[in-house]
Amino acid sequence: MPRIIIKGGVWRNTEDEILKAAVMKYGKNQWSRIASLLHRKSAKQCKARWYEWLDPSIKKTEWSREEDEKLLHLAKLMPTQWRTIAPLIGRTAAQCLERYEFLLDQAQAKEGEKDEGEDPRKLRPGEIDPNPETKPARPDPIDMDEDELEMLSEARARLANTQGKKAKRKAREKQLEEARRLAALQKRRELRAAGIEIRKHRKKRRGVDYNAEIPFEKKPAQGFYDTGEEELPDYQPDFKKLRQDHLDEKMRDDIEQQERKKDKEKIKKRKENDLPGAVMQINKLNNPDSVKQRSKLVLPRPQISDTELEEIVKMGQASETARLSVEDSHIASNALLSEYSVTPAAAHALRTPRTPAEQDTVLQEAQNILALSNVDTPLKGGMNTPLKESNFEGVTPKHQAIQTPNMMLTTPYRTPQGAAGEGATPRMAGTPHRSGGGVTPGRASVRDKLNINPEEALMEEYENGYGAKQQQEEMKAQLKAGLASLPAPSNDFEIVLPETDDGGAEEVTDERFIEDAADIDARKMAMKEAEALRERKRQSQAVQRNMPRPSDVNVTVLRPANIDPPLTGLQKAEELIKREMVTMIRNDVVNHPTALQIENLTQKKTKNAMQAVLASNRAALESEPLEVFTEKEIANARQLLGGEIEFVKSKMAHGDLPIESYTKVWEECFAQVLFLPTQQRYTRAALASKKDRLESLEKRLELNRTHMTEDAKRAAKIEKKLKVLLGGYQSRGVGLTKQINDLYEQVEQAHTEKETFRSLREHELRAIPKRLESLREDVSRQTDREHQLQSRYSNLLYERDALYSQIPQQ
Amino acid sequence: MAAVHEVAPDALPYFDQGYDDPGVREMVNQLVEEETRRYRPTKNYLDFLPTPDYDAFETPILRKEFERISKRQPMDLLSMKRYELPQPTANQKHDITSWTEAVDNSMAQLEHQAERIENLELLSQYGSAAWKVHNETLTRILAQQQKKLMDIKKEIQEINWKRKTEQTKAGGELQHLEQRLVFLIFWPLAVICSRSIVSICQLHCTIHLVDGPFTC
Repeated sequence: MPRIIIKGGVWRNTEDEILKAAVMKYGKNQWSRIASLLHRKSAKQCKARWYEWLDPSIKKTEWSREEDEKLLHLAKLMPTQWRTIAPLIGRTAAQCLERYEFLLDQAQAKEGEKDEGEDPRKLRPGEIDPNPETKPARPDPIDMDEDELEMLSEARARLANTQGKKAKRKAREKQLEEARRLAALQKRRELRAAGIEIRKHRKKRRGVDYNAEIPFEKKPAQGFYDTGEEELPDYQPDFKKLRQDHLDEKMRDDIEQQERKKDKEKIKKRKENDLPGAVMQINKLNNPDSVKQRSKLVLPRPQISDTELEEIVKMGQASETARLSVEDSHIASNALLSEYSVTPAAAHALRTPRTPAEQDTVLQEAQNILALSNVDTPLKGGMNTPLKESNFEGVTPKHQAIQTPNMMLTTPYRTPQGAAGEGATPRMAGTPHRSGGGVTPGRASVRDKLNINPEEALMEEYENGYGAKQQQEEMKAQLKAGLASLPAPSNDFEIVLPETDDGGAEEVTDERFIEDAADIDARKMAMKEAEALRERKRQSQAVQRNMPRPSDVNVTVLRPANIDPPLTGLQKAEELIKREMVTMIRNDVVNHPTALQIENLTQKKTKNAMQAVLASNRAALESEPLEVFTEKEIANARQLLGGEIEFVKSKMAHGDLPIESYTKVWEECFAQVLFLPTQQRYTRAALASKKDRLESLEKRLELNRTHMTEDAKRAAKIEKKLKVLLGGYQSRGVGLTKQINDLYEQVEQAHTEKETFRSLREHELRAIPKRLESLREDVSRQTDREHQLQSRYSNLLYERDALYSQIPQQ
Repeated sequence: MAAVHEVAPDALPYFDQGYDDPGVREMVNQLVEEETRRYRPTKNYLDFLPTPDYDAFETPILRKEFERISKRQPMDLLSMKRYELPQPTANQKHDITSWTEAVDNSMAQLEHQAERIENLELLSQYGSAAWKVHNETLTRILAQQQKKLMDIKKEIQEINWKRKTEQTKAGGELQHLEQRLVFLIFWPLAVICSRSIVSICQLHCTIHLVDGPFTC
């Protein structure tokens, strides 16, 4: 009894691949031959597999909405005729059926009649798939069955058969063809060498060039999205060495571990090389104070500042309070004080109108079909099954076009508006007016209680024509009616005179008057300046005139307090004056240091000495402070002094001293002042010995020399700097001068040339008529000569003719 | 000799040809040389100029210098005393006046030095601006000169242009006349005449051989 093998079952990946290869080899008409390659599948199943799944023209993408619509519509028109419907939709019949059932399931679920958790069509364990041809292939197990492997190797051998009769014949033919081609090539080459050019004519080949084109090629169907421009990486893997880990991305843990290892090594290395640096870095990282420095967050300036916002809020509050203060909600005040805190209800009308809700036609159709299929026998009678709108009009389903709601076609400016809707009969304007600006037509301002906007807009609309006039008249009438209700005016006034007199009022204003801050500042400044001036006046003359002042006080001018012969009155007075002078100088030293003093203070070398001097003077000044005098006292003192000077002058008979004599005297006196370097003091020249004088002079010369060298150095430095600074200018100046000189020479030369040419021209101008004259003379002379010769010749001719006439007579 | 010089050249270089022929240049040079050798300028050829005043810019210092140069004496060495501060010599070490002099000298020179520094400071303050102005002036002068040169060159060109036009215009006439002259000169009328005379003589002979003795 022959063993019965039932073929079929789920398709595997190997089987699919073999099937595809076999179809490539044998075509789509030898299914039994193809099936012989696959032990577990029959010819029919192979064919089904090809046409239901493997054919590259099968669309395996998602179902689109149009396809769904079409499917339902066609299913309605041609129930259960899937083979007819399928090509119309562009899917396989099985796909169509599956989708149809899926859609019906969905519709049923929507109705909520059967609410099952899971898909009823899903295979339960133990069930056998009735049509495995339409399902994706099952992946191959790692350890394939013996017979499967056998099948695979056999299929491979058969499909790639090169040892058969036909293959051998083909190879032979190919070889022959090649030899023929080479011979032809050789022949042509030789002919060309011999000078005979044979144009190579291509033999028109019959059949298909398998290298150039793919026979019966069917490109896979397009999906929803255009993948043409996708850039895939040019990845050509080396399959021989490829392992799974190469394809997988690296594990994150591994990467982190590697990085950690690297860090550790780095730290270790650093510790070896630069221990303090490493420790410092660790400390720095551990230090909580070291916060990462971040740059400041820079945001754009707000368009409305806080103060402005506050202002707006305040304004709103102000209007609110104003509204509250008007207790009775009078209409007029209401119109003026509109409420801004709440957007009025009319705002709902401000919404952008949306498109009408779209009906899910697919679902509707599916429900219809479901209802029709679930219907009882019509023999029962009764009402027809209620159907939702469904049409059988065409082959294709009717499309519902979604329309954008037209804002333009609504009646302009006359949309009903809340309370003002009394006169809101929609006006039909002849042509809808298109307003050009940003105004949304048809929507007037929400809070326009004074009717400002719409009327303006209306004016604009009815600019020309009767409508405008009518509108205006209407308005006028309305206004008149409104004003008619006003009470008649009664001209009774009450005048109240102000009670307080003008002066008081003025004072009040003066008190309220706030002086400008700038004025106050200016006044303060002026006061300060005056104070400073007064202060300056109080200072000593030397400071006031900014004269050279001593940096220390010579106390030796003072006589010792108690010497043996008591001082005379005059000496006492002198002493008092000196004391005062010393105090004044001290004050100047401490409080008004000269430039030299300041410089000395800032310099390191002289700083300490200078500070010591200052401190001692300050101490002395504290023990004997400078008396402060009022201006009046000083003026009095000055007056007294002046009077004294005048008195002395008149008594001693001093006249006005001319400056020359004064200078002379001063110079003589100055010449007498001599510095003694050995004793470090000044003395009078007359009192010094010759040696001292010589020494003093030598010292001065020495000093001058040092000054000289310093100055010379300074001058040299400045000169060097100037050379750098002005060198460029100088060189440019020199260059320019040279160019100018060259140009001068050229100009001179050119000038000479010009003059030469001019005189030459004059010469030539004179020469031309002269030459012409002489030539003309020559010519006329020659002409005369010619004339003479001509006449002579004519005479001769005449004579000859006469002679000739004599000859024939003879 | 003066008469010879009065002869004005009547060459028209834009019209005449043959200047580039070999030998012409040498001949011209020879002529020029001869002329220069022969040319003896008269003593008073600068008579039209005013008598020069050589002493116009002479100052006493200049005169002195000229005298020195005429005596062929060397120039005085520049006094460098100003740039050093000498101490009195050893034998004057105890002379107060010499010391005073030295000190005074040093003071004066210090003053000079101070002035120098001041000048340098002024220069550093205003020098760059002054130089700039100076250079600007120079560039302006340069531009002016260039313009002047261009103008003169243009004028020269214009003059030459005029010369050329005039000469070519006159040249046409001259050429015409010359052709006519040549034609007239080489027109062999005289020869024809003489030939006809000969023929007449022959005729006469033939007649007179018959007639009588030959008389012509």
